[in-house]
Amino acid sequence: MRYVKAVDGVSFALEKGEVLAVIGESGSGKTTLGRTILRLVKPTAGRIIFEGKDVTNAPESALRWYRFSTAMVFQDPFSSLNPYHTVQYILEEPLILRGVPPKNRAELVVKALEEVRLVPPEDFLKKYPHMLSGGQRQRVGIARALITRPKFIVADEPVSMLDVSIRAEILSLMRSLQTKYGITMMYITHDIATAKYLADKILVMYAGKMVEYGPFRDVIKEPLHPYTQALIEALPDPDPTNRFKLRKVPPGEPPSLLNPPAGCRFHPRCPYAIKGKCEKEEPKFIEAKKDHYTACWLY
Amino acid sequence: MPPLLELRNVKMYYGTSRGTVKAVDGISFKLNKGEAMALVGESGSGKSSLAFTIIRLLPRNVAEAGGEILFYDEELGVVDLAKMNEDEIRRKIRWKKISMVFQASMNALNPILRVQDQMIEPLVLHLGLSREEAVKIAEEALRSVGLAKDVLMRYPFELSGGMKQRVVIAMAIMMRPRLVILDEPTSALDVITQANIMNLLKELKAKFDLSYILITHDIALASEIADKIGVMYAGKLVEVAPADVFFRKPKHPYSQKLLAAMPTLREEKSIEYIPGDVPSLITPPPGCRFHPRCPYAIKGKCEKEEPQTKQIDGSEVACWLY
Repeated sequence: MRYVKAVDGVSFALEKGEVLAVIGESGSGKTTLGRTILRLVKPTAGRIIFEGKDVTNAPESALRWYRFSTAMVFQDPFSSLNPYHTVQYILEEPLILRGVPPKNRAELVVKALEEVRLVPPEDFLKKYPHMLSGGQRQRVGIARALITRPKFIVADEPVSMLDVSIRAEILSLMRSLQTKYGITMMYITHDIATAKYLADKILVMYAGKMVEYGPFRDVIKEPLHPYTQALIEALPDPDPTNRFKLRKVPPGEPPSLLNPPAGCRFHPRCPYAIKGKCEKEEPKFIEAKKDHYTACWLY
Repeated sequence: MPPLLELRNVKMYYGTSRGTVKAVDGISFKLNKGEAMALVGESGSGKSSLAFTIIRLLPRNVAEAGGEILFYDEELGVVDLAKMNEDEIRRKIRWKKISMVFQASMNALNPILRVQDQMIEPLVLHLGLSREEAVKIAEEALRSVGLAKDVLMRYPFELSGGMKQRVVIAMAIMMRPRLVILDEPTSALDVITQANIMNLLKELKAKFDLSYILITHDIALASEIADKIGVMYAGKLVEVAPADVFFRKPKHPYSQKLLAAMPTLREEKSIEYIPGDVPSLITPPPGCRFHPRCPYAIKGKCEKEEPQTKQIDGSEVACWLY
């Protein structure tokens, strides 16, 4: 038996109403982190504390309140909605589970559709997911997550499968609803540019490890970890002079989590790796600047 | 000097049970030797259909196809790809003159065949090369995309996503074509791998004097390589402009909206969105197809008459505002 250390020693704290962007490439453990926090998977070690209560190992029967306080928006708007249910039922189901009476349910469903700008709501109530565009489906996904007024939401790549032109609309919608209801949110993405429109804080993951954490603006303005620097360098803004330049990005791809490199997991790709150090010892997670943390031997 | 490729009023409609889909509806543009053009637009605007029309991989249910696709070549002279039959295209054009990197094609590699067998297949089967010649060509192509020749003996499942994408690009360039069509060549890749692949495409373009048609919905990615930008909307090309002009001053309202909707990391701006949805290609709106979503639509004009393409300081734009 071999183990995949999908999430390996992650620690952070979120205040009420804050949005944390979790950034990383495929296989970095960001989705597993989100699912673990929602207790869809049980962590093998560590603690998850929500509003002062430890939910790490609570049995499912004692987790009802936590399930009712949290929700998730999924990446794929095509597979995360049941094709046999109408939009109305998709939105009603979480309310039924919470025992909301039918009269109030109808009202809440209409309001939820209005909030995600699927208007007029009566045009959408009786539709099935296949009758909607990708952007409309994702708005149903957001409405479903918000209809129970959760305190905490994990949004896992909610715009990555949508056209760039629709991403903007979905992001601004999420931001306005998040602010309106003071929702605490974890926004999981591989795209720092979209995170800019939502996030207060950022957590960068590489091969299951946290490599950098801090206020969003500070990290983007002055990324400390060479991996974060590479992620930012790799991302183009629209600019016609881009075509005359090569991007200075490290070669290679993230390692397998079955057998990650010793020491700092980024060392085989790192342009600043220190011989005799980075490949041997794992860097500690330290506060390199005020509120700005990183795990790198350069600091 | 003649261009490399010239499209004149190209159409490709296909029939479905719900009606005729006007996927490519009267497209004209020129592409020069060594030039890269990006075709941008939302899903369902006809970008990929246009690519398939150029390389003559037409769906079986074509209802109507028309126009001229002129390809200027030293060896062949001027040929109209739209008039060539499949056999001629296969022997003279595909792989040799024009090749394509399909969307998600790295996942189309057969997992139980060695890379070598997949790379040499078109060379042996379609172009009649001997096995030895074909292997030599494949080796050389792998080298130019930065892969060692022992990759030939590997199976696709042993390769990472970035390596598989390099194999697919190697296949596209191995016969030294003049034009490579790239359909979302980095869409399934991580950002750093995407940047590495774009670097590779830039290097190959310079080294082999390649022309590219890059299909993408990501305008930032388009700016990584495109010398000019073509904006597609509902089967029509609404604007073609040199990159320097396009990013500074997009002319068509749809182009302006696409740029404004683009999330940027460094530049401080609030993002706007384009209200409404891409129209159906079966029953597109009359007049200018963008008019129902256009903030500047002129009543009594835009919904009635179709705007013709005009030249305005270096750009070609089809819009009644000009």
